[in-house]
Amino acid sequence: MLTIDNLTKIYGNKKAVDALSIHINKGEIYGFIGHNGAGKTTTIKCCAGILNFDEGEIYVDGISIKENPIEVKKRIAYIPDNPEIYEFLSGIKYLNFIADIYGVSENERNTLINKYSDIFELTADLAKPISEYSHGMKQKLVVISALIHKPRLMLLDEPFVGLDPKASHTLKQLMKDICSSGGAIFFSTHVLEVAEKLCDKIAIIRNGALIVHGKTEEVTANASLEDVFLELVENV
Amino acid sequence: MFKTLLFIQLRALFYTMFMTKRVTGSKGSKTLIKKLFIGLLTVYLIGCMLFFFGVVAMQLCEPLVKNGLDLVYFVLIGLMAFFLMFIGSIFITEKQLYEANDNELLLSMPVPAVYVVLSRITAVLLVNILYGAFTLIPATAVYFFRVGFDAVILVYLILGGLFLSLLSLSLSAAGGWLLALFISNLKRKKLFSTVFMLAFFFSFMGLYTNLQKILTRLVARGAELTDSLRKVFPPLFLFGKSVAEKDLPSLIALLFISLVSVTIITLLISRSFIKIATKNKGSAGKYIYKQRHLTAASPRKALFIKEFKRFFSSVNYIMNSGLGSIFMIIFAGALVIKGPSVITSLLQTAVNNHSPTGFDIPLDSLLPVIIGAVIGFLVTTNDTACCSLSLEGKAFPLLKSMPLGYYDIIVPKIAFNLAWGAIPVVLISVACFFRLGCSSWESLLILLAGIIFQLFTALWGMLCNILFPKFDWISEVMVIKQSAASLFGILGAMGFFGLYAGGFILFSLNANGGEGLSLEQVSRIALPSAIGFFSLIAAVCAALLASVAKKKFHAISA
Repeated sequence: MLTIDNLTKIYGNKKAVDALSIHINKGEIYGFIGHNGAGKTTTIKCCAGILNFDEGEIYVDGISIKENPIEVKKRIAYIPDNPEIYEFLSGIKYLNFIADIYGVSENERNTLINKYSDIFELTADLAKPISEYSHGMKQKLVVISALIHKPRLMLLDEPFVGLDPKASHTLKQLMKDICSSGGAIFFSTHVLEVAEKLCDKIAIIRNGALIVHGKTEEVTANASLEDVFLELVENV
Repeated sequence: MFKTLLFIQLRALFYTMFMTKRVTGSKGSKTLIKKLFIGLLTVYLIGCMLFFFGVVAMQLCEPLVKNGLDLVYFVLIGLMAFFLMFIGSIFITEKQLYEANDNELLLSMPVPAVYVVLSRITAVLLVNILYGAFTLIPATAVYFFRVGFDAVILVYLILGGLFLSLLSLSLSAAGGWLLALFISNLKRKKLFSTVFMLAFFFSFMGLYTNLQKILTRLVARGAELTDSLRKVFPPLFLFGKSVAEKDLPSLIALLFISLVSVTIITLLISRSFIKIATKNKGSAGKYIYKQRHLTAASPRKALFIKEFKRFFSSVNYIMNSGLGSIFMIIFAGALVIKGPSVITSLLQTAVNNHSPTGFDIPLDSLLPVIIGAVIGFLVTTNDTACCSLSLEGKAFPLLKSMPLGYYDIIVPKIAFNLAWGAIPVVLISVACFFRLGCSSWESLLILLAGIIFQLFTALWGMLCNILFPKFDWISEVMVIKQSAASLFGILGAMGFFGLYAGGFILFSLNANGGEGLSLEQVSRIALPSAIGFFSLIAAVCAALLASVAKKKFHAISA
């Protein structure tokens, strides 16, 4: 589903991502862990076609993001770490706007917007301008907007920040549903307990370089992910 | 504690007014050139204000002082200063006192409410003094130039001005409270701000255009007005009397009134500060979602509608990037109502000639050219594209993650700019045909010229924005007013129009073997050549957008 092959991204003379390679299969939830400034957001942004990169390749369903970015973007959904969206629109107008961009049919958008806004308990607030939304409400709106075109791959940067416990639980369930229906999830998080429970595979990154990756149980090897992570980032 | 709070307030105020701080320090501090530019711009704006009020003071001073009406002069100057201080600070007061974001933070600290209120009021007082200075400094200079320097009058003026600013502060605090009360009950606050700002702007324009008449009336009926003010609003009379007649009791009375009013308002606000600071600012109950069938649109149409909504949601955007169309609509309306006399008035204003018979140029033959020039000038202020990309701000990465091509993103921005300018151009050309008696060819030329001018401005603006994007803003004002793209976009477009106009004038004077073009030749050539020139530049802009800008766009990492 997603292949990151030898990805290198350089800012000035600093390598933000250094020859990183990851492969994510259909049905996998892949957690991406690292300290602040490790290169997680940069990697995710490269996968979403937001940032150009200096070396390497990224493929989604075998399609190169460099050569055919539009086709790749039709298959993915990206949720940024900060839900900065158009505050001059109301929630419903934003969702309709996103549905237009992804070419979602009228019937489907009506059904899915109703479904997901009900699930996230945002329906009553959809007429409000986004400028009056709280951080958590914006995050819910971004999550809903990411789901309405039925993406095959979801790239999520710190998706649980700002969500209330119920919405977090709902999102985790939706992530599992997407994977069980043949999709895949690649997400970054600082909440190691969530990563440990939710992810099929985990990658730990430090200073732009991958230091360990693999199945969650292999990475943790009977220890907690927190212990493994702390040991790896301090000692490797 | 009070000093610390005041320092924070002043920093916040300075930041609100000048917006010079970056979001993050990661990209380094401002360059020397940028600082210099902002400094020069500030000096220029202050200079304009001082010059404007200096001219007004000169028009008042001579006739009033000559007739021994010094008291009336100072009452009128005091009235202007008071009006400017009140209008200038009422919105700042509303924001500083009633909508400050740090109210809850300060309430959680061991800070007495009266200190918070006093620090906020003092900061607004300094703004009032600044506004007062814009009026009183030139008025004093003009007066001393006319009657000679008098140190006692200067002291009275300084003290009187300070007392007036205290009084204005108490009224603007009360006005701010009423405004806050009114705004808090509004559903569409932005629409209110937009309409209010436009109404204020056009009132100011009306005042400025009729300044001569107003000043003449003020001089003629100044004594009457002074007498009315003495009865209705004594502080202004006391200010005038204290300065003009060096009357200490009047000055003391003014001080007393000002101190009493400011003390009452400070105590009242301090008492209700917690209530004000913690009042419900949410919109519960205002927006009720009713499920309805959502209709689909193409991505480009959706992006166009988004541009439309963004534009009309921001008064700053309209005022700084779209004012030309509002003026063009007014111009079209004036053409319909008043006919060709509008052009005569415009020319008179342009050359500052107040004689109604000051023109011996046959206007009929040059009408399309003059209208084309007016449109050209107004279109340069219609540049929404030059900041439309930067306005995406932190939403830009999300936009870039969508399945949209380069042209999908920029074409709706250019199209909106073109549509915003083209609609009034159509109105003007229709007015020219039906009301001014222009031929169908001339009307078509005006229409084509207007559309080409607007297309050029939009393409040029878009090019500037891609080459000089700015996404790290907190307030949109930083992008709309202060970014390099908006500066190059608007000034550059004006520069191209100036270049064409200058070139055409030079050509007209030197054509036909140095004899120059006849008026008939000018009227025949001017618009078609402008259309050709701007089509060419628009084509160059389009080519640059397809090459250099496209590469830059893909490399942008917001």
